[in-house]
Amino acid sequence: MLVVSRKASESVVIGDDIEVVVTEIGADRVKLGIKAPRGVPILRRELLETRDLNREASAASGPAAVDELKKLLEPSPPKKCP
Amino acid sequence: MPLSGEAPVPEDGGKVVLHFPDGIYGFEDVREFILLQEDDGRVIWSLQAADAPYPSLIVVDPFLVAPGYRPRLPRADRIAIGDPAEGLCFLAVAVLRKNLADTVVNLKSPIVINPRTRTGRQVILEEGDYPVRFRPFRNARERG
Repeated sequence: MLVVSRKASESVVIGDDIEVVVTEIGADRVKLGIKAPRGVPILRRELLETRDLNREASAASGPAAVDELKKLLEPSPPKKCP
Repeated sequence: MPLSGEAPVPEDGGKVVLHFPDGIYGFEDVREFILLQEDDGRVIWSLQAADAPYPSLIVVDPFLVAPGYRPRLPRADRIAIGDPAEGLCFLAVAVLRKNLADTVVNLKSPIVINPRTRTGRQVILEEGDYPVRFRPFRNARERG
């Protein structure tokens, strides 16, 4: 991974048409401005991770798994539905 | 097991239709969900599309799987979801695995529900360093 040192208002250019500007440096986070062509998706990584996890969750959550989880979260046996 | 008082959930039985104006991540086009109660203890639900069997996600009470959980909503999300007097309901999406130790729960992006307006929203927290893949049962032995 390329690591470069930048001050506020300085930037890096990626390829011909993407520029990342450091707009503000705070105590525990930096603000970035990103100039890129329309159509280039720019997403926070946790958004991608959340999307992937939601899809996995929808694929993985079978009844057997739910029963296992119930056993763990509920020490007393659940009542039988009529 | 008692439910933490911080997570009030709609009270009218197992089936509640909730409107998600922006869907949830990965399923942005699904706007209506129902919340099906999976257990008597009110800690496990299925969040399922209202008019289809898919997507269907298991959601759990995050305060139970992660004691000390203190989600602080970013301002824009707080405005979007509203702030009812009875409080907001928080649920966390879980990926259940056969070996429960591998089960992960998303504490970074809770499903937040306003029980008064019956709207929901998946919020990515900016504070608190909560993991997308928290493993609450990582020390659990496989049951055989």
